[in-house]
Amino acid sequence: MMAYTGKVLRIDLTTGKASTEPLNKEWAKEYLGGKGLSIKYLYEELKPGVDPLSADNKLILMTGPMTGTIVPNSGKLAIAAKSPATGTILDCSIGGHFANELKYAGYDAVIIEGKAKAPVYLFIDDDIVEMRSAADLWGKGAHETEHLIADALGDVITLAIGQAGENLLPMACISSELYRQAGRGGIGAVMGSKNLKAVAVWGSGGIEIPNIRKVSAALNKIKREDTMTDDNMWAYSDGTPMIVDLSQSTGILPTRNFQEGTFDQYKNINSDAVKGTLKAKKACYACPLACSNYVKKGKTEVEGPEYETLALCGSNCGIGDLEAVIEFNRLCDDYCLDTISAGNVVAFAMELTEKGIHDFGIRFGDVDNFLKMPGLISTREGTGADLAEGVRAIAKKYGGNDFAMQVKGLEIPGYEPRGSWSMGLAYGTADRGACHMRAWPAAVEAFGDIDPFTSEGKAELVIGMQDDNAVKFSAIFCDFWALSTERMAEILSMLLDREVTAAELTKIGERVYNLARLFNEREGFERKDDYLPERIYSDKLTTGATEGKLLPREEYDKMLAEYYQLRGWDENGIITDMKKKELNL
Amino acid sequence: MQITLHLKGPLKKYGDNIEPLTIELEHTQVKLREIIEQLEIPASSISFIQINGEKSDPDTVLTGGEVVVVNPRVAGG
Repeated sequence: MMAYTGKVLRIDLTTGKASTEPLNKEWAKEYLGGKGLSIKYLYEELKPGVDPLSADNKLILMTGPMTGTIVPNSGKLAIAAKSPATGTILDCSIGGHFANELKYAGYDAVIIEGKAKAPVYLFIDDDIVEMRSAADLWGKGAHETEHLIADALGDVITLAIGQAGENLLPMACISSELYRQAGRGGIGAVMGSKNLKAVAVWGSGGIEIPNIRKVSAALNKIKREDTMTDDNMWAYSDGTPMIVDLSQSTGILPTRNFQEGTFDQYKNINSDAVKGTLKAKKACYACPLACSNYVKKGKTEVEGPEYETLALCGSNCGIGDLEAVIEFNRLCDDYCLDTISAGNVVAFAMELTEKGIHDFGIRFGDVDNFLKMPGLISTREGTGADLAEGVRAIAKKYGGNDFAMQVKGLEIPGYEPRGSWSMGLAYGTADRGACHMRAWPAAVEAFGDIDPFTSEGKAELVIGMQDDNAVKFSAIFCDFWALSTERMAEILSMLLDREVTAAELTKIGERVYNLARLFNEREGFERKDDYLPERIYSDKLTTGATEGKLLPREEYDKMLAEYYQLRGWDENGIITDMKKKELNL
Repeated sequence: MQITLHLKGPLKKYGDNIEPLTIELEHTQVKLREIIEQLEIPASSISFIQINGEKSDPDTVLTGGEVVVVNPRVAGG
């Protein structure tokens, strides 16, 4: 199998034993790698109803066929498990350099199962796999953990959790190279539940590529002509902070817990403001786009903040102070809190306080208390004890369910669905709860030529994007490279030394998305779980381009019904037998 | 009559990296599309245009005094 190592490393933390096994070639052909292949392994190996925080859940680190090669934007790693936040399937994507090192160590994937008796970390050094005590690391932030492991092991790349993961928060993430995160759905809590503080890797091997000179020349041409172009270089020139201005001008910038779609202080947190703090650009392995902004403001340095952080922890919390947002970002990275969920939780607490429903001691724009939140939440201290459980749980305890901004238990990202109806459908039907990375139709709707305020054609739009992204995240191309399926097929054909067609990839994308749905179906999810918070259907926005707008429930119902029909699912969102047969599920 | 033109992100290169550009209108009733074509900005590289803060069409006729923002395409999110 060209480009794959053909080997999976399986580590049982309960027994402390590591073993290797061949990669399932049949599955690799049907699911490629990354998202798709990790979901396939989880679907086959996890028992239905498994407690996500039990030893029976599994954590999978999965590379793709191009990982470790010079294919542009192929440097990410998929990390998957059953989600502690939602109970759905969960796959996350993390940039940096862990994925290529894992491949150089000789593995396409690592499957981590069981639970260590006491805190440990793993060291993968080619064929040597060690389980070492993490007693001295437990209780420390991810940043110090990474530094201490580097001191002990030298040149390694590390995945680590902070206190949020140790304390099993449903918004705990996994960090790498200090500022990269596998962010959503509580993937860090899965590590914490296994008493696994970190995984460090170093590899000295290589990857077998056919016709290496010819392939290198072709890839360099593609990089020049299709990667470093106007469509993609926004990532280098600005990075995601550019989206603040786009969202503000189209009225979809979540503000004060999604009460508004514009923020009067947006210029304090937009791309120009972030550029004023820029110290350096940084990139993942094999990435010519270098989207990351390494910034310094006041005493704080961080890689970021990305759009999602600026939106959810800035405007959505009524915080127009860039230095405060940067510091909040740094704290979240160290404790390993997902900034999308953390920003939502703090904003929800602010609104509950201001409405007199429950006093969390924090109001919109309150910078001093805002900066205390990452620590309190991660350690479950004081008000953090309640907030640590996420928006859905807070609403269940104190009320405010209509404006608890979550879907399936996952807090909503930074695009207001009342100004981008297809984003609403994308959130509702995303496989891991409200997610903007399964489909991002705002790009062509709110930011493009398609009418954002109609249900017409939106189901087809969202399905196309979900399937495209499913194959992209399975082959592992970064979503910041706007490449066509035909281009993906061309590259994979070179790497795999067999003809891969665009049609085959489209089918793989559909298969992957349906398998994720099938996993969720097995866990009891159905149509009733595909809805948005009541605020989106009932409360009109009052400012900017979305003034007077909402997403009427009947229009959402119409989009959802059409979506199920086009997917080949029944009216309750259940995959039909015919569709399962067609996709070999 | 002049307009102020902001070319965002990678589109800035089409205005010699000057941000913002001040453009003198050669005559009244100039369509924004004509200016975009003069600057040789590929239509496929543009996501959307704002005139005075409002999402607008490139066929909008300019009369002078407008602040125009031309945004690039973005991916991912």
